[in-house]
Amino acid sequence: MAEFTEMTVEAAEKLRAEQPYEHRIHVSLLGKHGGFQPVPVLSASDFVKVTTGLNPVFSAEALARWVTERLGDAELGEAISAECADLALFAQAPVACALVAERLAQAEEVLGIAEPAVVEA
Amino acid sequence: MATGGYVGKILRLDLTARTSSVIETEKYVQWGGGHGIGSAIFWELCTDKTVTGRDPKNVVTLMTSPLSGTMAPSASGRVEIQGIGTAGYPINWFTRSNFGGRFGGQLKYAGWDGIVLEGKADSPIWIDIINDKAVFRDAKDLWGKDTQETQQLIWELKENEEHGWTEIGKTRDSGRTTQKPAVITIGPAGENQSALGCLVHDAGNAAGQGGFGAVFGSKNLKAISVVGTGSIEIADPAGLFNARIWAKDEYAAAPGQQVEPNGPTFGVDPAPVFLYAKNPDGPMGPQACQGCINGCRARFETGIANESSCQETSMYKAFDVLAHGEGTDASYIATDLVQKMGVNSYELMQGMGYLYALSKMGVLGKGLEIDTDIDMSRIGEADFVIDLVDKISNREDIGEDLADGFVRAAEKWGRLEKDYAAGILDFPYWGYANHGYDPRAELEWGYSSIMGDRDMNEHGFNANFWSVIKHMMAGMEMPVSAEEYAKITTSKMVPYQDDMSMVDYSTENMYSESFAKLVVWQRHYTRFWKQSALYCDFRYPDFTNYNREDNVGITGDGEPKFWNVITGQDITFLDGIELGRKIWNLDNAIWILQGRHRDMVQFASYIYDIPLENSLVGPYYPMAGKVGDEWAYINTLGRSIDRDGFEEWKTHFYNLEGWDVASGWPTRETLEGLDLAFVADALAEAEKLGGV
Repeated sequence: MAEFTEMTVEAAEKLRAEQPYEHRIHVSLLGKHGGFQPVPVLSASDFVKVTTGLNPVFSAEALARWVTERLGDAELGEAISAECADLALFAQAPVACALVAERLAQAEEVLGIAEPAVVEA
Repeated sequence: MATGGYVGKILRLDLTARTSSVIETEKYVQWGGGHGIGSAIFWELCTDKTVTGRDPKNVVTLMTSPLSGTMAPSASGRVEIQGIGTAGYPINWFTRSNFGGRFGGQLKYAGWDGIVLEGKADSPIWIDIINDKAVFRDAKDLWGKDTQETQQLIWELKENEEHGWTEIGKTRDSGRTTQKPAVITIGPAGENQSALGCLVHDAGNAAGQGGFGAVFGSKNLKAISVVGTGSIEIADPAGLFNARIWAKDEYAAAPGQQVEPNGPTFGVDPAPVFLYAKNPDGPMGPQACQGCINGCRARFETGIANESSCQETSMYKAFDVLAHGEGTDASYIATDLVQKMGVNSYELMQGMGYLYALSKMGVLGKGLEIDTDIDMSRIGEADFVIDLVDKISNREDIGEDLADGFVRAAEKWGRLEKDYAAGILDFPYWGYANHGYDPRAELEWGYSSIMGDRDMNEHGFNANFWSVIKHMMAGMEMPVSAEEYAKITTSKMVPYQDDMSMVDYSTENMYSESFAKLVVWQRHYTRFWKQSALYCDFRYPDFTNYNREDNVGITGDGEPKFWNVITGQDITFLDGIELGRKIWNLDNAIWILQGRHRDMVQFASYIYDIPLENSLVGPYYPMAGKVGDEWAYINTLGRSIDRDGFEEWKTHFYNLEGWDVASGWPTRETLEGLDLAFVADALAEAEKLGGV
């Protein structure tokens, strides 16, 4: 697992912020029927929840870009790209989920708050 | 006359006059069964085909097939329902739906090949059918009840009545049965004529798409109950028994054989399946439609979500896991809820996604542009879905706006074009929800839907997607290469067999004549073999079957084999497909009379304007296709449908059908070639005959 550097309060707040709907990414869930069900993900917290089970799949490339550009965490984005690069599609979720969860926990430790902020579109 | 699978009579019910009469099935045997007979009867009896779905002049048919109630594997339990629907946009097309269970068998045992509903009762009624007797009964004690309460009340009523059916000492032939009546009913959503209203039978069989719940509600028809003690004359009973053994031995997994993951095909998916995202606690057991070799559903100790197996089980999972990080009781409570209230789970699932988007965009909520008392912050919780479904079912709050479906609600809210443009209203064809198999990736699903009347919901080629995905999930190699898949599949697609490009899903091939052949074949195959003969969509067509060493499925051999031993006919697989062509042409003529023209055959704008990137879905949507000269399981994401390309494809399609390419209307020559001169005459009178 990646070793993350320390976060600033500003970086921690940005990582935890809920994004406007237009800047969502999607994780697809696969059930028995109905094909891929894309779930809109608006925050790092959403991503962790959605990738906990249920055959979640997503574009690691899009996730890394989103984390870097929208959540402002290039370090996490690079870690996702590196760790998921050689993994099979259905093996990526636990790894990416753990990385984002770890970084979120770090952010929460820095902030010591529970409620996510909301950023303007 | 009862012969070869047909029991000889169709029950015609005039709900306005509360009278019944008999239609001799023999008159319609040329149409096969199911959908074919339903379309032919609708054509004759619905004299004004431009009426709306809720108009008393709308004619509804519920039809079985010669295979219904017999030992034909995975072809015995389904019923086809047709009529003008309430869910289509911009026109409520003549449409269809279909449900499994045991209703079709009981109807046949009662001596009826089908039911025709006309008119409108002046107060709520239900129909009580016991063998050859049909009684119009007052439904005031049933109105307002959910689908399970309704069935329970009917069962208790029948149990308590002095009909002697359960008395000791009586024989079956003198009128004794141990069977509960089979009931098809609407819930509150149908009563209040919501276009999301379904018909539900037993716990988990639903005719969901089309909006037939609202049609029943508009006719003041709560339920139809049927029980019979007769039997079905089979032309060759020994042949049927042997054919079933043949199918099991040749195509089903042998005891102990490792079953390859596959899509919906013959001999796979041993029962029971699991609910998504969470099963109710406690033991469960398998449950199947009548005569099926693959019980694909479960019954639970708790009784909650019993017999649900399809998309309704995963309808709420996205928001459940968004709220909780795992599947919780909310998922199966939601599943149970839509069955009880009789609500179309596909429309509801995609609709909830739309409502979520609107709420996050600050458009929908208390005191906002779209004002609602529904607490959108509770989405994912059981109380949210209970509140939303209650409001939809009772036309309260935004439920009134949603009564004609989410697309018409968006139009009413003045948001249709911009929400299509933004890609947040995921209803790509005729106002129907995306089935999860996006037209931009899985082309045949989109093309077949838009050339028809509704989300097609046919999994024949979709099985390839599932097969590849399931092997990926299991970390297994596909048993066949993409080239072998294409070869096996197209070898069965008579009369276009061996044009392997028919299943080439590459971007280079998506507007080709070959791909038009695939859709034409699919329209004709399904119209007869699946929707008229009523082979189950989850088992047929079976192109590739990985239980066998040669990987060749039952399709082509199996369908006519069972049909012929039951009916005593001697038709080929191709004969059935050609009859499907005839039925498809009749349906198309009805749509033309309703207002169909080539120009309106268009997807929602986002299908053309927004590429289906892997950040939106997937990220890998595999289908067979060619990369240069090589076959592979290619990723079909990253593209949109090109408007000009689609027009080119439509021209191929119309040419293959023998329809006028400018209007999409059939020519007299085509119709007369199908023995449909009377259809040509009607279209000519309406000035809608092609090539004139």
